[in-house]
Amino acid sequence: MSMRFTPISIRNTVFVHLKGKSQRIFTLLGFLLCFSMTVVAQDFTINGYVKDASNGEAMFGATIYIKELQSGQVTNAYGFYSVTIPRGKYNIEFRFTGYETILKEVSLTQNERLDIELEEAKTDLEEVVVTAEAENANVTNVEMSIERLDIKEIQRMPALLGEVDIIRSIQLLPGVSTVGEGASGFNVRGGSVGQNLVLLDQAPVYNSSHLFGLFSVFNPDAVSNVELYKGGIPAQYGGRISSILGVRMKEGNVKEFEGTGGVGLIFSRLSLEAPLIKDKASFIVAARRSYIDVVAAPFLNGERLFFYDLTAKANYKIDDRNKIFLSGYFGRDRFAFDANQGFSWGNQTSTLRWNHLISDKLFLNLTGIYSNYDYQLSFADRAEDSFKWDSNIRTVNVKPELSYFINPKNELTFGVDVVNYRFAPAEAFAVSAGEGTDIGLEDKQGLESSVFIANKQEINSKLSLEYGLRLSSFLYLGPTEVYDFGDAPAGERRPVIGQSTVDDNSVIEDFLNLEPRFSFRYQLNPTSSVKGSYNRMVQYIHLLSNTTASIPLDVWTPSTNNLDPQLGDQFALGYFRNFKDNQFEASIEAYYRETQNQLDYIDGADLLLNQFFEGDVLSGDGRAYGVELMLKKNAGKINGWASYTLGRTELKVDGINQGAWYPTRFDQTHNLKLVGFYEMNERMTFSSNFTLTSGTPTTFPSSRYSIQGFTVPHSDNRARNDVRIPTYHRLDLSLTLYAKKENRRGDKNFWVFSLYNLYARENPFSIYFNTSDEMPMPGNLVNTEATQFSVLGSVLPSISYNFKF
Amino acid sequence: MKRLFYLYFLLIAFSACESPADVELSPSTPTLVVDAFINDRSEDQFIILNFSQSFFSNEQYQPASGALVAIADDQGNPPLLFTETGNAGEYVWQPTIDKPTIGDVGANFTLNIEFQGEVFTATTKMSRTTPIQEIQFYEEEIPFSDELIYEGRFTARDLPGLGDAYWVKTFWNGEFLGNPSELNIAFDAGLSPGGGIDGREFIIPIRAGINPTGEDEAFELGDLVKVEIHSISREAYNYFIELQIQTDRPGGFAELFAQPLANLDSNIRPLLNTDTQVLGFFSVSSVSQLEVTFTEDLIVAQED
Repeated sequence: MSMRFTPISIRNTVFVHLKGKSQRIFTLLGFLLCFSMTVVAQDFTINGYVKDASNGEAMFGATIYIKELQSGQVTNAYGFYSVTIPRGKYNIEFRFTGYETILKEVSLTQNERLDIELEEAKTDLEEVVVTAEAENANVTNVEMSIERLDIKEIQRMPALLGEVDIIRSIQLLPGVSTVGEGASGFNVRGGSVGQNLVLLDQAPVYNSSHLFGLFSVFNPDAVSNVELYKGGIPAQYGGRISSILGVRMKEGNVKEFEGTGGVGLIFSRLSLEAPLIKDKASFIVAARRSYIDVVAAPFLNGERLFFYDLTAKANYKIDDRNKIFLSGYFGRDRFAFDANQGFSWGNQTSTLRWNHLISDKLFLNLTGIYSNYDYQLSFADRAEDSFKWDSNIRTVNVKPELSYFINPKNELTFGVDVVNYRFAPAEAFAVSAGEGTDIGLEDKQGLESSVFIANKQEINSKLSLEYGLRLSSFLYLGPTEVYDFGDAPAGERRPVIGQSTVDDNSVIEDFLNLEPRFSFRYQLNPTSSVKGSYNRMVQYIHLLSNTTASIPLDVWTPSTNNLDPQLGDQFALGYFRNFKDNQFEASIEAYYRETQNQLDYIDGADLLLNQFFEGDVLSGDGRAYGVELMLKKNAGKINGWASYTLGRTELKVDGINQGAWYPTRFDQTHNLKLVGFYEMNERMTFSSNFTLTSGTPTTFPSSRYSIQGFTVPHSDNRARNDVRIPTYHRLDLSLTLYAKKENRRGDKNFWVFSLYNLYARENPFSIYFNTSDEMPMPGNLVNTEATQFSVLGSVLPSISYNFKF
Repeated sequence: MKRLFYLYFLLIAFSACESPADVELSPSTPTLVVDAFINDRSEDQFIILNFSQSFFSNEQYQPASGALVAIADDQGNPPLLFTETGNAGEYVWQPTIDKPTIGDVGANFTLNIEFQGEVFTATTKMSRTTPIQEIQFYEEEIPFSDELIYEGRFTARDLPGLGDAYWVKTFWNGEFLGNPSELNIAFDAGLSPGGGIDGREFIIPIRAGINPTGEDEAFELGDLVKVEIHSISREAYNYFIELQIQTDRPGGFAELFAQPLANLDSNIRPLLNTDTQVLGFFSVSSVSQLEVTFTEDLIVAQED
């Protein structure tokens, strides 16, 4: 055939050639597509739960490592993992430090459900491990600014009066501090006590202390692990500026009955766990009661002083895709002067949770939470003269959260969090000379709703990101009384200029905030990485406290038309490095946090039983910055860590310190903690910690004068917190002595002997100024003096006996 | 309530302790202090002017002599002059037959002081006070023992209408109970404006706030007990509350609940709004009083 070169024919010729070529291309593409479609169509999911073989407890943070792909995943808080990979043959390692690794050969031709139980490793003392994570987790995990403590680590630390304590243990970590014995709560990176969200199985705990901070409300026998987020807070958490402390309860031995207990100087404890249906359902109940009043009974005359708490959890595995959990806490501190008069406070929480595998890649956790904190005061020596005051904060919370394991490089989480608050600051009734008056305050309501979405993404072998967004809102609702305040000179009480009543649930004030969250990890090499994070946090409820230390009477209050939500922006950057085959972990992390709408108070603020307290509250800016250094030795007979934080936290409020920046009451420039464990032999372990912190800021007077016979102190430079009390340092020592024989389950009973404050230093809590009781010299006025007060001024020895059965 | 806390901590206080603190204080700037609490009693009224001094110094305060001190009211009366007749720094006004008291309830009073070329001024109102019906002594058991002590309580009602504030002063055998822990201030019938308890008997803490607080101190049969109720303005109420917070520092575990040190604000200012600092307060009260001798018929027995 001859070709005639007409335009059309040229075009056709080109087309024929192209078509040929394109046909080949298309065929190739088609083949590839088909091939990849086959590949896509032939990705399968392996998922399941990793559990402890001895008691069936879910293992959080266990590693699933796929050798052929050289990539891994970790189990979530419920022990669940899900990996979607192409069809093929794989060798999969299931690892958890302290446990024997299990290797599974899997021929993946369909979706697989693979539940694994790991056995504890028979420990050679050389391999004793302290952390429950993968050995180089601190370098490889994307998360930064997070501290995780397993209960086994906590149980080895020396403790006040021989009792292990969760809050006291986290205070040994960098960035965490306290103003001293006797103070409830803790401070994280220069945040105040009310800026930490303390969760027990996701239920908020509003006062985490017994006996004014000497012990926390968490019973270590019922605790599985503790996580403290100091920064880089993921989008699923919100509501507080400074930190999130998540305490997770044990689920209860699902294989056999187990009991643990202890007898100590201040309180005793007993916990029982057992299966309800073997391998399917179990429970744990743990109780504690202090008995100092029983011991002191001969000296008392009807007075009672004690605390108790009960922590319980039950779980039921309905089938392979459904599990439900029910947990609760109930505790109380009670001081009774006699049968009619006293003071008590306590938390009650309960959490109901449903884990559901919607599909092989989609995991749902639906939680319903109830939490109530209340305190009561009553005085009534006669019927016609009495006073009763009840205060509480109650929250009801629903949280559906989903995890979608898209592929090994992307894990998406999203969900909703709705919290309903009821604040009842005072239901109070006073009867005086037979006449009764209701001196209570009206209740307040609030609704905090948030929606969040976040993704954990592995960009390549070096770079991982976690980014997310949380949108939170708060509605201040009626029925309640609404107040308007006028202006006053800076630092003075603002007068009430208007008051109105809202009768129904209408919205009085609303707030909406966007909270972006971002963190990255860049792996320089297998033993070192750089991490950074940014988060914005918003806090809608506030803890009012104008005393030196936080006390049980402090009031929680919502944001209103007079109080704005607190806002915080935190940046953190850190370098993480492991040495000598992961035996040593080191890190240096710097943080900077700016906060707005921080609360401080006028001089002489009246915060209790005062309906107009909002006029006594001042608002300002805050900033906290510092560097945290940590060096940790994980293996060997001698192990432990050293943590040092250099930091500053300040406020700037119109009307205080003449409007200039001033340090907060809990600013501690240097914060050094050394913790060591020495496993001498099978039967004895020594542990020791040394704490050194800078003295906290305070205000001293410079002058005195007299008004109506009262000697009044005065500061001529009108500064706030410009002086520091002396440095705090303390050494504790403890010896754990194990029994010779193991009991039925392979555990050993043990004694703990401990010495708290070994060299009996009188660490000052505060220095105060007043007039002396001594008679002055004739012709002179009354003497004034400065006195240093210490909460604990001598060494405290203690003994406890702990048993398992 | 305070004693509850102390008892609580006594029980768990194994080793809490206090020791003298060796501190260095910033230099002191002597500042003019005006102690001007006067009332409508028909007796000498004193206004004291002196200077503040270094905190640890317990020498007599330096008097501020040679000032001109006068109080005027808005009722058309001529100003009342206070003169430095006796001790230096003490300015006295004496009642006369024509002017038996400083003034009446409801009047506004202005204090004017001219000192070292500067004029300082303050205003306040004399509010109404309430009469005391009786003083009784309630039997109480001492904790940890079987002994009885007596807790004195006065009976009086707050006047109806929000906003009345009172300063309750007690004199035990002629001596004023002036310990900071004995400072007894009421707002309406309660302890604070936010309480809203109005027009009723004062609440127990106020009625029983007339007792001495020193260790082993208590009323005994035969004692002379005088209670005065001084009406005070709302500003004076705020001033007293701050004063109590700053001076009542018992130490011990009460330090856990203590508020930080802060200066008291004065209601006395330089007339020309200069930077000159003035400390102290000007208050005018109306006073009611009742004095009893503690006899057996005033005892109220314990209820079972």
